Amino acid sequence: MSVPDTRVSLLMRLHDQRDGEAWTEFSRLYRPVVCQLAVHHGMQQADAEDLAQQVLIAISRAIQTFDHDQGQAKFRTWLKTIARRAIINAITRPPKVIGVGGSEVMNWLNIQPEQTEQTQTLQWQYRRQVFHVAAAEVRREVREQMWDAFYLTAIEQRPAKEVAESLGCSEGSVYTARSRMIRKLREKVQELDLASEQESR
Amino acid sequence: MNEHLICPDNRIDSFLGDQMTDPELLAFEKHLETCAVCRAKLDESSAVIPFWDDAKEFLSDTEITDPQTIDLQSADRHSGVREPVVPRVGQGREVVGLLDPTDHPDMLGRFAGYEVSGIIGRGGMGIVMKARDMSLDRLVAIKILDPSYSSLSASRKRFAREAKSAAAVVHENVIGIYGVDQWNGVPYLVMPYIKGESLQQRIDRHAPLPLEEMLEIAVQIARGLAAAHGQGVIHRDIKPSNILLLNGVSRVLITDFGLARTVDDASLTRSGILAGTPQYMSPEQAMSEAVDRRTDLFSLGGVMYAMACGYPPFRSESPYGVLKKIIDQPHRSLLQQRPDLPNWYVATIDRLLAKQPGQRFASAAQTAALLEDGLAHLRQPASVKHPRIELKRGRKFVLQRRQIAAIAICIAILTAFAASTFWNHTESNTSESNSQPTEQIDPMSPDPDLSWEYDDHELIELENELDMLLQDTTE
Repeated sequence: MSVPDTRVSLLMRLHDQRDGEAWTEFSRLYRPVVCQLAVHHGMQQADAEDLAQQVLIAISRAIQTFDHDQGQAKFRTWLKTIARRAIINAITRPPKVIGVGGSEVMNWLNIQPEQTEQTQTLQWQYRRQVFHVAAAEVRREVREQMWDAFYLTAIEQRPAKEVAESLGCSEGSVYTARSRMIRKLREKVQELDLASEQESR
Repeated sequence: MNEHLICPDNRIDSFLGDQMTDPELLAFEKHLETCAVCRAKLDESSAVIPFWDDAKEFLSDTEITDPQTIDLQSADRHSGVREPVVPRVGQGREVVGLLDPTDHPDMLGRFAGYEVSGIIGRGGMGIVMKARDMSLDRLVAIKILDPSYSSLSASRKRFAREAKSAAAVVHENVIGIYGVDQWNGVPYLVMPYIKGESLQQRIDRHAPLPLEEMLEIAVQIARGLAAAHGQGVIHRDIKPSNILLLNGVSRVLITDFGLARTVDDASLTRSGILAGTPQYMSPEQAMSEAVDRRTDLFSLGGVMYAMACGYPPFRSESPYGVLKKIIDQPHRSLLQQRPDLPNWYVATIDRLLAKQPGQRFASAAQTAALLEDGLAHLRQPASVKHPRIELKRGRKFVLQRRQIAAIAICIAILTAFAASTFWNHTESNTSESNSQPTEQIDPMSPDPDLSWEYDDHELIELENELDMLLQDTTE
């Protein structure tokens, strides 16, 4: 199954470097992922924010080096790989203060994280953070009742009937809301993370 | 289950393609209510099963990444409010619906005659609101059972029962309870509103804590537990965030007595998902076996461990990973993290963290007495001896442990031998001795009498290391 593009993807817009809005959006989504992951690994909030900034700078530099002729689909995949790698590298081997020199940054980004227990745990945590950020995004965009119908049945595994009663809607609309929410969530997660794309194929 | 049946209905694609008119949608929803086949098909077409599973796994824990709530949390931390507000995704709005309207413009609403000014926290079991008791003009914290649980009569009864028994515990190290009641079918209890730092916050900021501070805190927790156990009340959820520190460490208060786990149990049995991280749970709790007061001793051991190194003794990326470690892996020796700690303190923690309740200390009172001795020794090392902690061994491991001990002793002797030759060598020939500082020789203890203690500590470390190796290989 290929991934249907229902709207102009944020990542594709990032490809166009003049699209400052897309970059703002991208960093707004990624920043909490890095911050939370770093805090989780014992960093102070302020240091985590610094690290997030460095990772984002590294990614923005990397975007400039991408060969535009390779096409947009490739760009999506490439960028997500870079982002994931940058975050994991940032935690396992923090960059020295990222200077102006681009090649050093690229070298750092190109280090393939070793498949150790630690990086595997990190990948797991990274994906968890991605889900949390995606969920927060979805919640911002939908009516509370829709989200609750999804959360209470799918996450808390409560019976749809009980949920419908507590939300004051029909049981059937709980099922349709659930479907809408998971699709939205999937879309958001896909924008942030590569793994879900591979899985849904 | 009729999953294998085929339903002639073919409206799912048109729903997914967003091509339905409102009446069509209503009819489709009506159909879903009766057709399990279409429901399952709809779920699968909306996202693959692994994605649903991931969503369930990742979104069911209490950690949250919404940037707005992160700001809220850190703001709370700085202002020293009792507990940071950590709403779970998808929850937290039901509370306002429970409140009656109020005339006060600054208040959120009225609950059982109290003027509620805000929600200060929520945990596994319920929600804590800050309120003013108008008749007595004092600030209180009202804890209510989470509305999503209060529909379950079993948890409601348990909440009320346990709240009453907790209210019977009157001790300076246990938070007082002003009253327990029900309002509009929601059980609640009223406690003093206390502005203080939680031990978790202290650990986050200052761990590792100095020995004396750890002892002062641990002694008071143990005393509070002893008082509660004397009343037949078990806490079941001793963890740093349930310990409040007032005026530095001069007074420690245990909160959430006998309550926290009741609802977690309910949520566990119903959905199979653990609420929160069970990092301080005892093995018997983790295995859902019957617990007695010694479960609190295990958790106290975990808290003492966390004070010493900043994190709990059992860590893993998932709650289930933590449970598994709690049940079948020994904790990592504290000596590796804090070689500066006296052996008796480490041994106390080891005893408390014993997997078998019978290997822990007999009671909280005994633990408190031991810790008091330790504190006295620390303050007057010349006149008070440090407590002697005897390590009890599990019968299950006797054979293995004997073997390990034998190996460890051999290695220790060899190490001691090597160390002593190394020592002599360095004394006679200092110019060559700038090799690896792997042997962390304490500069404070060149006293030959103390070198035995040094060896002993090495042995314990080795034994622990071997223990873990053995665990790894037998898995």
